[in-house]
Amino acid sequence: MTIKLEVKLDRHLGIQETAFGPVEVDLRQYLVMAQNEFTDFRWVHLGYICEPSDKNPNPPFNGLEQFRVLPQSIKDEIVQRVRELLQLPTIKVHEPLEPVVVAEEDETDDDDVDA
Amino acid sequence: MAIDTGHGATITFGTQGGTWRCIRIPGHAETRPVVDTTYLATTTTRTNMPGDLKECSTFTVQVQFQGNQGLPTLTTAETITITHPLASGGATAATVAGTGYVTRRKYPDMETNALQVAEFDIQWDGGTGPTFTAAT
Repeated sequence: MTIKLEVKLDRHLGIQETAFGPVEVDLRQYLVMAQNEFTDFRWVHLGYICEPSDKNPNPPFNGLEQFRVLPQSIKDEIVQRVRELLQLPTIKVHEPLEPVVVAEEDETDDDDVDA
Repeated sequence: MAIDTGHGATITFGTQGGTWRCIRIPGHAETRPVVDTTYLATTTTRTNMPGDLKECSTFTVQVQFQGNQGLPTLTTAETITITHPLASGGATAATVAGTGYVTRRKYPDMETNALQVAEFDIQWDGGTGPTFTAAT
């Protein structure tokens, strides 16, 4: 079964205070959004990538936690789509580091049970 | 939309990339100077007016240092994005983003029984932003 994954790039617009009041500003960066039927076709924000420019010809993809937890195959597909949309030869991917899990002592240890 | 803690917030760099285990991402402060307009005939109270341009403060990000990650480099300005925690059921989190650069980085102190904590300072350059984008 193949689930169609849709990926789009939304321009990242911010509100900046100016002498003429708050105005919308294009941050020259995209929000990487994806959806499929498992998200109920709701767009999920997965990360950011800057608009390629002379100063930043090969921008990295900065994934968010929602991206980190995806299976590697889906991550690869998303990065591939982004690469195609921006016509970049390669994309370096950064994602949040896995949280450190501190192992708790097993309270069901049977050491105290009398033989 | 509900109020929330800062847990889950991240900072990203649009050119150099990189990921860090952030402990604290302080918000920057925006201040507008107060221009004194008092003159010799002013009565009762000194007078003033707001300045023309606001100033953005530097802010210091604290991270758990990892030997294989290092710290962000002191390069030219780039797009820096602080993403707030994503609210439950939300599509996109609120962001504060703009162009800025790292002005200082401090490697961790080495101590017994203490985590290695590093810091770096960021200054918005005023080129673009800093802007706020509301969560959706």
